[in-house]
Amino acid sequence: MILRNLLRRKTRTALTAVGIGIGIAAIVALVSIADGYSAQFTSMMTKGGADLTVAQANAADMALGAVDEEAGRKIAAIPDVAYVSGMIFSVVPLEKMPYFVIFGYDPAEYAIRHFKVKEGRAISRESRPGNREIMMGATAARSLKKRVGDKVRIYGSTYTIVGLYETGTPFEDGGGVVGLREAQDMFKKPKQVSMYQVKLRNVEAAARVQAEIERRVKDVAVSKSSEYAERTQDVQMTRGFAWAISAIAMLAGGVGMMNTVLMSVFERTREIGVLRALGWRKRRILWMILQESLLLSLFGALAGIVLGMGLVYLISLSSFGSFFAPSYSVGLFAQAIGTAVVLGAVGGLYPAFRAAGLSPVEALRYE
Amino acid sequence: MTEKLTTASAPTAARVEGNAVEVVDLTKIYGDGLEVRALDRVSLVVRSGEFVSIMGPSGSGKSTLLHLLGALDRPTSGRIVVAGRDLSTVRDLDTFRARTVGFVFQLHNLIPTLTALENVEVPTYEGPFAGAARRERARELLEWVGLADRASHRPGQLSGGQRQRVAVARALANRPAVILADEPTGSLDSQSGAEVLGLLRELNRTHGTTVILVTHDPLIALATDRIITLRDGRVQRDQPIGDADRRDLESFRRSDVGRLIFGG
Repeated sequence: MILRNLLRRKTRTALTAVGIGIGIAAIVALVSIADGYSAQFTSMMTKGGADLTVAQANAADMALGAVDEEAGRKIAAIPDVAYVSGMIFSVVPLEKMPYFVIFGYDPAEYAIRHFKVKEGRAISRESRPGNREIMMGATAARSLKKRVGDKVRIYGSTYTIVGLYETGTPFEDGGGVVGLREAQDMFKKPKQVSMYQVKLRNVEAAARVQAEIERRVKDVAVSKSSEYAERTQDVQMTRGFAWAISAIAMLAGGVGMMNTVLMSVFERTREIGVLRALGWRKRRILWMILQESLLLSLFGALAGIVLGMGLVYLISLSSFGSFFAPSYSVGLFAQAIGTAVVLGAVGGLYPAFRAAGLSPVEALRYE
Repeated sequence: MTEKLTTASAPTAARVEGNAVEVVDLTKIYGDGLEVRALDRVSLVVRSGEFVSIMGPSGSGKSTLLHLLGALDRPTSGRIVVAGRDLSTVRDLDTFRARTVGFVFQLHNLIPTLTALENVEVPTYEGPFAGAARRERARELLEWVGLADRASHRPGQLSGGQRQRVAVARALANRPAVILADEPTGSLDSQSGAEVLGLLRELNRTHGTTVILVTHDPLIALATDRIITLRDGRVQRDQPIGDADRRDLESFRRSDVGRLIFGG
């Protein structure tokens, strides 16, 4: 009966469902992108085998933060630390791409090894002005139509592509790697890194080493590498935006839904009067309207999930596509459906109470 | 509690001990500023098994009376007792409406999205039947009104007369003590109206159900056994109709003036 009541006005039901769907689509698209963003960074932090990540405390953006190399030396001196590896990165304009990520790694250190070289070779310490080396991500090479041996210009200097790599992280695969010193020159951050990756001899010592680092080095934030991404401001802000925008979209959809259910209650005033005259109690009428509202929002959720995934697909086709690796999880879909259900319940509550509270006699008289 | 169904129990309403309806000094006043006395100290008794019609011009209070008997509204003062239950003491009026009385309205009776069978089943959700017994009860009633073959039709696919017959079946769903019909034939053509009236009469004659119907149509009223006339919220006349009265009516109908007024 609930379904049939919704089907009375197919167009109206469909439009309302789409309204809710847009809100759900926003959640699905934006949150999956935020999740993907976070997942990518976590992957970047942990693929090199690091246990702890050390970065500037309170940096607004991971690329803007800087940690002094002095800190690296101090950290290396702590017992239980197996090795310390510094990394710097930033975004540069490159030929046709306005945003190209450049990572700076020391070729002799451990961390660079997570870049699996597919063609050519990795960068070496032999890279010098006049013979600067760069290795490029496979995705970037494809976009720029470059091959091993081709040259690229960055900030006036020429780099030779010595190899192509693939890590599986779109952020990395869409960028390139140069030596740490060269990157520091490029970004004008001498003797600084964006972060240090720390590998421990003994993983159980993590908490102790963390405390020790914070004691010896000023102005840094230390986290487990697997948790680092979630703690950074940009990931948190991205998530915050995702939910804020989604919330606004959901509010609009929810108001539309409440209006639709309210209208359908008004149109059925006489009918509800008859139901009451036949003995249906208020509770039953309330539950009937609420169920309609819940079903409506469920339709919206399904439409929204499809819309959202479609939206993400479209974004991935665009030039920004390489930055986004959306991460869909059961949790995300559960959240989307859960939000829709809550919306349905809250939005339907007022119309449901209105319906149940109708006086039978007045409802019957309603034309 | 599940009711076991037998053919004998088909449309029967519950038999009532004592009077079906007792009304004492019933008053209903609407409006705060401009008072409207819909009913003014109405007192009457309807015995179990009677077939009564309530007549009167618009505004006479007849529909108000019916609504009060069905506990759709509360009186301003006075006492209403239906099937032995004083309405002012009944706590659960929803159950009273579901099981003690059965309503038939003039228009917009049925839920358009439900089939005829489902419509008859609607009151049973609050009734004594459970699960499959509900469907069975609805089917039996639909059969009794002669619409078993229309069980899966929606109201939109039924004629006005058929819809009202479904409405009668529905009113009987929970074996009520009293049927309250508000102008049940008001929107029907004479043939459909006669069918519905016939149903009500059979219900009353064969199964002993108390039927109270409101009508403005004298022909309908004269088919019942007792006419109560209301005017300005008060009982004007209260008279049983006998066969002699009906014979008088028939001869009047055959006269010139009669044919002028009633057609034929």
